[in-house]
Amino acid sequence: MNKTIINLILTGIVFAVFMIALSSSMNSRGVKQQVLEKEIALLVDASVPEMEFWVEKKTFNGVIQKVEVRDGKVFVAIDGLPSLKGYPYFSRYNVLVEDDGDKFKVKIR
Amino acid sequence: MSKGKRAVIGEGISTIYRLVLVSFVAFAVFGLSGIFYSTNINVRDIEAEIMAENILNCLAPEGVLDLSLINEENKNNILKYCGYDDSETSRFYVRGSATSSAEEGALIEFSQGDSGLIWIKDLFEKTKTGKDIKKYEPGSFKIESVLMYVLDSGNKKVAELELEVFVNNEF
Repeated sequence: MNKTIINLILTGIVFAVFMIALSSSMNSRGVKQQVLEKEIALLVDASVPEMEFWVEKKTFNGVIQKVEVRDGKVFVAIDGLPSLKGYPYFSRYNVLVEDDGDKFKVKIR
Repeated sequence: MSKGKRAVIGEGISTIYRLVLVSFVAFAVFGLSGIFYSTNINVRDIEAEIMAENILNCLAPEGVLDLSLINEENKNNILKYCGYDDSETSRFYVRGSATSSAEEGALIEFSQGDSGLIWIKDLFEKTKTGKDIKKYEPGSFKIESVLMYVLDSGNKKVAELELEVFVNNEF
């Protein structure tokens, strides 16, 4: 009896971990993150000094927790999914990101 | 060793075996579903187009390309001349030329980056590749001909500029 219970618990733990990992793939946070990072990188690539654009934190695609520009890459954290790789941009100008309440402002200087 | 102790060890081994089997099945399903749910959005062609436009604006900001501003070193480091860092442009290969007339030949030829991207791009175009390999294909953009003025030793000439940009994958 005890053996069966232990087996069930262990199997349950394995499947719980598996389902959590699978759900993060299925809810497409990774794709949303990729789209946002690439969109922002392309906007930065095409921008000239004194231009600025902003990214709303709450969108129908989810909640954006963080937009960061570091080491020539754009990092976006969405729905609790942190960005590990980011996406590279190219710009001859300084790129700044400011947290402005309900949006992130990206400024080219 | 007593029979009871042997039985306990046997049960333990049996449990580990089952756990490993369940983990294997779970991770196999996870791995397969991960492949189906993951996707890569390729924006390299757009990056190449943006870079081509930026270079064009850098070389001839008012539609006039002044050859006296571009020395021999800059001709082989055209992205650096335009103000890009090496770290930003390591994925790019750029080549171009400005020609006034067929007899005169190219007034200027410039480039920067790894020209190996050209044959990698050719290889992808000539061979059929699966989705997993296709995501490594370099992006490219070509400006066949742009008319502009070129200032060559004080002489203003009409010239055609040709420009090609290749972008390597980001992986």
